[in-house]
Amino acid sequence: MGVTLGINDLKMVTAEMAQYPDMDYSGLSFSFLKRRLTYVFEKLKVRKLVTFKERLSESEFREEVKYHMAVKVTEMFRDPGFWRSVRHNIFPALGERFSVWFPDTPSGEELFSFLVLLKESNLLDSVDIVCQHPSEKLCSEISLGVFDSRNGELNHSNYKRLEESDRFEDYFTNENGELTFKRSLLKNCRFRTKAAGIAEEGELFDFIVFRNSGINYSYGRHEELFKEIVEHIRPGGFLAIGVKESISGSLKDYLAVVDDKESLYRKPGVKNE
Amino acid sequence: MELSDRKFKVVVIGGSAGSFSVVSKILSQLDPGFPVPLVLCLHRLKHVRSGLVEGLNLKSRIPVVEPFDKEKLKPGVAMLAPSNYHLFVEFDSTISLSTEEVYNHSRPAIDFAYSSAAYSFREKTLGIILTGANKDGAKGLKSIKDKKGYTIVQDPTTCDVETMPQSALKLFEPDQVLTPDEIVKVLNSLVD
Repeated sequence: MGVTLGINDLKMVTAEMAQYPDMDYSGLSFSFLKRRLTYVFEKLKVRKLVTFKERLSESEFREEVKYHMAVKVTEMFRDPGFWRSVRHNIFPALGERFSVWFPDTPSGEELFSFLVLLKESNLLDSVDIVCQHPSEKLCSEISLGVFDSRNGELNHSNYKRLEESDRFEDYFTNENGELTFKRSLLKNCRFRTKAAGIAEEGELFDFIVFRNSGINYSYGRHEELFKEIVEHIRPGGFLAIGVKESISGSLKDYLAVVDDKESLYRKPGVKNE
Repeated sequence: MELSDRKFKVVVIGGSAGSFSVVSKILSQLDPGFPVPLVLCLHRLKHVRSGLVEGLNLKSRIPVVEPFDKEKLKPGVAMLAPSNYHLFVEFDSTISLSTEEVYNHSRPAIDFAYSSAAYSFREKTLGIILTGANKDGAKGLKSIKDKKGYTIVQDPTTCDVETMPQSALKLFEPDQVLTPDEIVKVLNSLVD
């Protein structure tokens, strides 16, 4: 029998977690927290709240919690129309050298989709990418570029919907049920172990990809988080969010819509090279 | 007590294989003054984002929309779970979407839509399960029943694929087992 988490339990647990670095999950919506913590408790075989609370003092346990809190993206090139729009509407406007931030990278699918797209647009040498997640284990896993081959067919079919050509198999080797992507794709990519959405002070990016993470936050925190993220877009830079997320509050009038259907936005201003 | 006296806060319809024509029929015969928010959670191809909502709107007598995350439920509007997202009904009468793990081989998973509605609105939830080829939805519909909500299962003899209704019937006794025409009558009886 698993743990049944009520609202007070969730408040208590998130308050305990928030005492540790990069573990402030208090901005997540209650319903998401309830589901996710239930999932984490199952994964870590925790059957009592008090056990969870006690084990938070162990750094290895905290690492496992951060790892399992991540909602992994289950396919590459999710929403092929989005990636097509990035190639057609964003890439030509990014300039000779540009920076990209993935403020919450729960798995490698989005990153490697982006890297393949850059490679095919001959932009892999023009980019600096920061991928961020609070779990060190997860960042380390992503940096290996290894994916379960059971998703290979889906990834490939999404790619084919995006591309006129079919070069997908050029990017990985397929051995022992695993697809291992070429390390060279990652040459301008660095990983940062830090809570989702929190950049370094004054850091600016030309393109921020934050798809389907904001939906896990409460309405209030969602708005705050987006404001914080938009502050880190360079003037004239771009923001991508999930196709079923919306920009709320004052940001709605502030950001220009680049592609409404694919949820791509642009910050006003001109890039100062 | 008449069903209309129960003042439902949400009606959730779940379906899979063969359900498009049944949902389309229900929507085409629904009273335009239908007073309750309607949620449609139908299994659909994950890579096909458009077409289903447009197809349902062709004959529907109430608007059918695909909600954005955190959008409010609206009386007389049918909200269709978007492809490749789970849909949850929240306490504050909003929809939340999620890309969490596939459940019952499905995203959207009907179980999640039913159980979140039951958790949020308890006895003010009406759940209907239609034709379909897997067991998704059965446990969720039972959770509506467990919270004293109202449950309807499509008569398996009228289903293209009876697995989904049969899974529900194996799990619990719903309030009614009805044909699509009878389901329409029940829904229209909610109009004052």
